[in-house]
Amino acid sequence: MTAAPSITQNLAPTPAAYLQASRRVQAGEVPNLRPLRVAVLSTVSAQLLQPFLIVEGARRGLQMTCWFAPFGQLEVTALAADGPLYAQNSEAIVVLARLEELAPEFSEQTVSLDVVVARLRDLLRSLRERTTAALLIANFAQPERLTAGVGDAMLESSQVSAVEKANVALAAACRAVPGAFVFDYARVVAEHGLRGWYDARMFALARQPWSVSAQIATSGALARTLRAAFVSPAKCLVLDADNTLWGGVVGEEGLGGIALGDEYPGNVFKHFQKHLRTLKERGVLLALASKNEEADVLAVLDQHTDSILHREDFAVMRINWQEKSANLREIAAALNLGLDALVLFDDNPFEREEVRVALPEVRVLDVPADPLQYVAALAESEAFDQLTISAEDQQRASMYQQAQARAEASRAAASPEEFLAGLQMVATIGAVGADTLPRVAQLLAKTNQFNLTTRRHTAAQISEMIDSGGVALWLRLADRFGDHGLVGVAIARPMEGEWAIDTFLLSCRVIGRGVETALLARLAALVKTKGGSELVGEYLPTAKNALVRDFYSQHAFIDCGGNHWRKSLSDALPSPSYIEAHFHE
Amino acid sequence: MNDKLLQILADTLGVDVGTLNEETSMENTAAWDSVAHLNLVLSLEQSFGQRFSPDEFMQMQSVAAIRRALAAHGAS
Repeated sequence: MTAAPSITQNLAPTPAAYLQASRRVQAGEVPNLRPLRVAVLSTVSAQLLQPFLIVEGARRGLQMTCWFAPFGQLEVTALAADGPLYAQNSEAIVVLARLEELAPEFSEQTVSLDVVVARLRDLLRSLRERTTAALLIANFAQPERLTAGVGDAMLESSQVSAVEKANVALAAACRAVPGAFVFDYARVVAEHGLRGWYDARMFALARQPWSVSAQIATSGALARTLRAAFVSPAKCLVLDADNTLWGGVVGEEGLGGIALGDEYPGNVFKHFQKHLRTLKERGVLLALASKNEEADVLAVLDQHTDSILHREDFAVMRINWQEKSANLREIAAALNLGLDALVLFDDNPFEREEVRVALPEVRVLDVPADPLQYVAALAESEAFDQLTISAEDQQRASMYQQAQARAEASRAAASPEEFLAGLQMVATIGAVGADTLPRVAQLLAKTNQFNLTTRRHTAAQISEMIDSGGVALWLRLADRFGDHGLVGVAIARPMEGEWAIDTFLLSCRVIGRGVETALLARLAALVKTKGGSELVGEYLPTAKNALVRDFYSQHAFIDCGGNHWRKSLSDALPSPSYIEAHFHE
Repeated sequence: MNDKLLQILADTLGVDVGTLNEETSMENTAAWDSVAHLNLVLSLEQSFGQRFSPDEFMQMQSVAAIRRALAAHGAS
């Protein structure tokens, strides 16, 4: 972790404070950050995380640039080799998919999550075939409420154990895909607590499920995981002796006088030593830098029966009366490490400051005054987090992209079209009538992105257009995951043989599935039966609808300038073969 | 004037607080889009120690409307 510049510190837990700080990070006001391009695929509207991710990233030495795929479009985004995801050239792709969307029925009853895990495994493979970016996939949080309540724990069909099993299977799927890692979202939720994690209002208003504190926690954990994947961990923990490895000063109180044992306060230090031993077992080098008589310290390490750490546990020891910084320099040299590979843990604020000033490359931890907090301070420093992508991982990732991997991944769809076909979409298209008019008017009022003209006609105005000979169509969409409801509207009006498309829109829930092509084809067919010879499409640009700028040219309309396009109706417009269309006009 | 509401609005939108006034609304402010709006109301909740209903979220689309909502909650 870089030294903490004040821009990202002590922020109020509000979007306003994080937005303000994130702008300063983006403007380059926090020096020495490692740039990192990240793409996020999610079943929810995750872009509200952006300011939190940028700030939490900067706290950990990362200058993150985030790109968010349209929500709900996991496979469509991943399978489009020429699509916007791969154009980002992201170094990491994060998948945040929730059971609430992937298996909606799970909230009411325990259903097998095998299908969900298989779907995500296929998604990881599809991504891996197309990019060498690091892949981070969130595992599943426990449901906020259990259907069986207090009875869940002893059920064979326990929801809690179903989620745990799914997480085990997801981890196995990650291990099988090179460069894929679990983002332990379940753990983040557990550490925060499920109560207060969700904000039902936010989900209702914006399809974003998290409370502000959950957004901060998720972003912090994600930034921590990304840092662990991209920044090599520190190698060596340099420890002080007195009041760090044991309580008291051995040079004054003697071997029997220091606090180290099975009773308070000695048990606090013994517990800390055990934690240090597990760090060593994980591959962290331990070193000792102490202002002491060498013989006094060695006596504790060699002879004290409650000392967990012994002389041989330390890769290097510098026990003398010279300055701490000089000892750290010698330790780095002895281990053939850079100073930036060292982390200092010393209870003495004076020594910490001396090292900070003399050797800014060394990571000096803020050690709490209470020894009971030592373990937490060390763990939360994130200094030894490791999720390294080895060169071998990189190589395996690029090998995976080659054709031979295809056989293994044959269950995964190979193209967006193939995936879309697997969705078994059924579009029902009908004429707008009294029953559908309120929903249609609501869509006109609300839809911003996939909306060619953004005309906010009222229900009465739409009625009048129909009465004066216009065609107004609605579209409902269902697929094998459920019914999306009424999600599309097209309105056209006759103008002496040619028909003008007054309104053409689609709810953002179903963008990217070719549904619009089916709706346009039906509109064209219907206009033709009413004697129309040509359709005229219009694009009225707004701040939000750049998405559909090329809609008419993509559908073989001819550009006639001034944001107008024409299409002769002599031939029928094609409709996607993978969408089954029913008509109810 | 050091107004807490206007300062939060300025921080959320990334504009100078001097450009904001009692007439400022979602309608007449380009940066005040739907995402900024959610962030704004969530920030106001934390800073004023209040909690607004989804209907209030939808109504608080101008400085004047926000002042009314805060007053209705006994906060200002």
